[in-house]
Amino acid sequence: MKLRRLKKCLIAMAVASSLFLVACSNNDASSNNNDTSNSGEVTKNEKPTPVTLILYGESSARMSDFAENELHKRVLDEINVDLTIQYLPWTEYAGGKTELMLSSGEKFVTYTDTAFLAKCVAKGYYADLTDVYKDNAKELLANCGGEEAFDTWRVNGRLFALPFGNKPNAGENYLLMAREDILKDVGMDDLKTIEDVEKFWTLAHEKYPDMIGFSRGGINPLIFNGALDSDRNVFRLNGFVATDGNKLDSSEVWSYYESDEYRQSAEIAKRWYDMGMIPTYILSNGSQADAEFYNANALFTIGASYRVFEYQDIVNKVNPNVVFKNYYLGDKTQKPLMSRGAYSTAFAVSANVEGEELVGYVKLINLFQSSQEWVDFILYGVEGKDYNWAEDGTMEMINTDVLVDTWLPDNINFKRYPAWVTDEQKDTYENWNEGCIPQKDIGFAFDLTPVSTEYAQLQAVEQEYFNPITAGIISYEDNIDEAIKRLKDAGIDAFVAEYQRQFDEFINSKN
Amino acid sequence: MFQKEGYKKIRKKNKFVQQWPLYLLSLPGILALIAFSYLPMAGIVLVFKQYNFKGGIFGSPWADPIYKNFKFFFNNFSTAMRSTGLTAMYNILFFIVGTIFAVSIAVMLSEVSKKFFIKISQSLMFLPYFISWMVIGAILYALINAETGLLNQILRSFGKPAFDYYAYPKAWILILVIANTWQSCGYSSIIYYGVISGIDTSLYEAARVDGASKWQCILKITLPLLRPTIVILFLLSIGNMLKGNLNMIIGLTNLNPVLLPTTDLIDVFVYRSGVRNGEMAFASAISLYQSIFGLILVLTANKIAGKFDKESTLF
Amino acid sequence: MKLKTKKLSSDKLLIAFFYFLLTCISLICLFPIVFAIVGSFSTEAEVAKNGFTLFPKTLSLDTYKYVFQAQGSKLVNAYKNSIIVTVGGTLISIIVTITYAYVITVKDFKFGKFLAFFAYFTMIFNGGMLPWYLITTKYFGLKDSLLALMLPYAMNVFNMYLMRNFIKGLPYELVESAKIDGSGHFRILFQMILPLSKAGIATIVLFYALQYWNDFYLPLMLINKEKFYTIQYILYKMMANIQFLASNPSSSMASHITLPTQTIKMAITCIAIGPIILLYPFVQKHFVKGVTVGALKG
Repeated sequence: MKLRRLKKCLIAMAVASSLFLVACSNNDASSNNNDTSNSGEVTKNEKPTPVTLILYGESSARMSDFAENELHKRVLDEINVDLTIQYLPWTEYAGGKTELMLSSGEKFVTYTDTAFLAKCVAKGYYADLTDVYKDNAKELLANCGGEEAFDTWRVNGRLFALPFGNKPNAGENYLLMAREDILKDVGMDDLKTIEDVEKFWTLAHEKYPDMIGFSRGGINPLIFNGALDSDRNVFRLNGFVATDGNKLDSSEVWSYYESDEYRQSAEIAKRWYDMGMIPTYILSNGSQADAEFYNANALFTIGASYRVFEYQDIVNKVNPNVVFKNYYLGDKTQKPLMSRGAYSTAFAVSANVEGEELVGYVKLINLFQSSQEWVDFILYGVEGKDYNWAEDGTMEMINTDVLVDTWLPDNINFKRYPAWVTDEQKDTYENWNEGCIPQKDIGFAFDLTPVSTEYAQLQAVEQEYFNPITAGIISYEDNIDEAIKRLKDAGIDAFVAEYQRQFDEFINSKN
Repeated sequence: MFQKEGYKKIRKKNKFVQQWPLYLLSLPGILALIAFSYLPMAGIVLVFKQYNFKGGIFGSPWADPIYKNFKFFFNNFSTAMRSTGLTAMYNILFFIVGTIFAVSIAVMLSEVSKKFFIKISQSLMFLPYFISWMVIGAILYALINAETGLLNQILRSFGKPAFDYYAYPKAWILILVIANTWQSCGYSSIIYYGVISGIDTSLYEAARVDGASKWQCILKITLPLLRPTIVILFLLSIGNMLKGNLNMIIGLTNLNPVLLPTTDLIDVFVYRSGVRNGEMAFASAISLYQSIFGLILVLTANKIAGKFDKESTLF
Repeated sequence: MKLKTKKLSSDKLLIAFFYFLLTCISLICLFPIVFAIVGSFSTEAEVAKNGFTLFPKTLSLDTYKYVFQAQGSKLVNAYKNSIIVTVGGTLISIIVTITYAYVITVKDFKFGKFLAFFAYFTMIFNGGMLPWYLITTKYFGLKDSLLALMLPYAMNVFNMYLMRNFIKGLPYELVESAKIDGSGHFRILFQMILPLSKAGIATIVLFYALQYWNDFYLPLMLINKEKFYTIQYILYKMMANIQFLASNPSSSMASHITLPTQTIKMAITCIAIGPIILLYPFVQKHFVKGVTVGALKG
């Protein structure tokens, strides 16, 4: 008896003292931060501002060397910023260690996407940039699409991330990207309808039985959007909610998985699966499918304007004849592509950064998109050491590593096309956004907090019951009733209602 | 009378003082436990809160309702129960099959005399433990996939049709048990092997004199002497009855929805409820559920073990 | 005096059977690893087409070249870090673990039961990543240093229980007789228990060494500066890209990630398990059967 009481007492003491200690440490952390920002203001012009930039992926030996030496020096000279670059594995993006670092108040800047932004702003993880960006991000404003581009990253009027890069990207994921070289090889010249695609597959499969159809990303029902029998230009706001992209002033939303458009998409996918266009192992062994794609063995993937360059660059190393092209299945005049404007990626600063330090951070991001010279510098390195100019004006790479991935600072104002890019491809890319309409949700970030439980439940249902239907593995008619029942049990109605409420507010405030 | 009490007091004090080396010896361990396990435990309070950055752990508001972070799991009661049941079932199967193999391997290794053979085979057997589940998954795919898998090629050569394991959830109960045993039997056998090494050889010599065969020696000496170890390992693992191995399922099945009816462990269900890019509190809440359940199980099992053999208890 | 015992024929049969079974199990354990080794020497193009096989058409060193080129000089530094962390960490852990294990085996120590529960409790309950991270980095300042990789795992309760189990297995008469002789706990522990529990110590040395060597979680959480990376962390980072894509095929970042290839997964595995094969034979000699007890009695 005594022993048990003793046990309980000690445990209680341990818990109590630890609560106390942790509370103290939080206070320590915040008081320390106040000190540094104060001292920063006093010694404004002398001490360089320390800035930590977090990137994801791998850093090669040359990259680390470059970051520590040439880049560091130039950044210091130009804007008096002491730059440190750190790398995290991709698994830690938008969660994992990144979230730990944000929630424990560390100071850094890293990239973000709209979904993660909404979540971080709701939790107070990001620094408010509204007051500092006008003065310190002038070049960014000019080169990355103006105030409109910044709107994507505003929540309730306050700015929380800086857009980076400038890519025309209307209709991202609504396109089908296919192997144009094989298309020509089997005697076709364009893919405009679902029947075209099926014909292409049959011909290509006969001629090249080893090739698979879809690989990277599997099937995304959005690619059927243009060709579906429906008046609505379905714009998927998130996995579960859709709206009509053509009706810019209407805030009506509906549940995507219960819609007729989803039914049609699922039926097409099932037909394609039975035809063999979608590999049977797409859900159990995604990396095999990816490997096939990178080895020029796949015919289709989900398209976006800039992906032509990204993927062709890699696949050309295996087969130099590969040419990719984006196709829109349907009629662009009826259902135009929708665009985020100049969306590319964005950088957000963690919440504890304030005052002069925050200015330093904003200046850094601005610097990397400020001129052709700077974009070349961070992408390609030092002239003479990492690359040389060839006679025809293109770059000859001595060193094939880059500091940042090419897609990150991709800015149409500063783009250098690799030698294999044809004029036709260049043309298509630069005029890509012509005829497109803006997305309805620019400037809107859905706050998940009121429905976070439902969202978690819905995602579990989506993954278990809907993904196989979407991928065409199981049939829509046999399985949709059970799936929708589960969806309802998980709270789809409450979720859509909440979304409708927030979206109404947003659209009305715009008008 | 007073003398007796006086003596009692002195004896108590002496005992306490006499034990001072023990306090000193256990101090590093106690400090390590407090620093890295007990202090962070304060964070369990986050499970009942709505964490935001400005408030920190202490200042964030309480969740509304207080059990909000548990709702997503228990709302879907049938899936929650399925997950709980699957996790418990697999843990029991893993323990039973794993122990049988580990003990058998340890016994066999200790009876065999060629040193070279022991070194090589033991090294080989415990390699699988260090291969990540993703790689094991890729190898498994190479073995059992319907198109090019080795197993199906053998089946075809016997005239039987290929079997798509990735579409048949029930098969995975066996596959997971085999995979888990393959991965851990060599490593676990080292524990038993170490214990067998510590057995007094005079026991065996005496038995041999009496004419006992090797098999009888194993049955009557080795195995009973291994029993306390098996019991301890059982008690240690029972606390984790509801904890599953997320990496194993992700690595082997890639969270293929078709296989979820038999692979949706609690950790897997939590993970695919968007926890990876959602709420940390959700994961911590369910972790607490797993822990409490485990604690109750261990306390019960420990008491029962104590009834049979006082030496075999954990505490 | 050693008694010559009759070798029963049933014994011989049994031993032969054991050899056979052990060989089978070893081969089954080895078989999938052979896939990995062969895979790491295959060309990516072939794996992409046909998946992994035991008999690839062409062999190549390209994958290894890529791995070493991509990380190059970092690997050497990382190996150095891994070795320091493994040796230092194992030493610290053994001291902490063995002393604690001894204390809870002492028979009439009332506090011992509580200490056992105190340790076990931490195996079940866990405060979560965030508090652990906050306390370790902010409160203890353990980040970006090799010490940060050595301290958090100082006490692994499972290993501690294993050690306790070994100590309990020793005959109690020895301890009793030492006590009658007037030895204090220090003497009992260092001069009696430790020499007798070689197998036990070897077991937990092995387990701890492997834990420190293989761990990538501590570098992931606590290390941001490259010069403190360990080998396993570098390898983990390479694999992390693949895992991210496996679980987030629709993430907005997914299309941007260039995969390290299928063969790289295998090459990384081979690089990681290589040192382990070399380590075990050295430790094996301490698992000597039934030494000691009789000798000490005399």
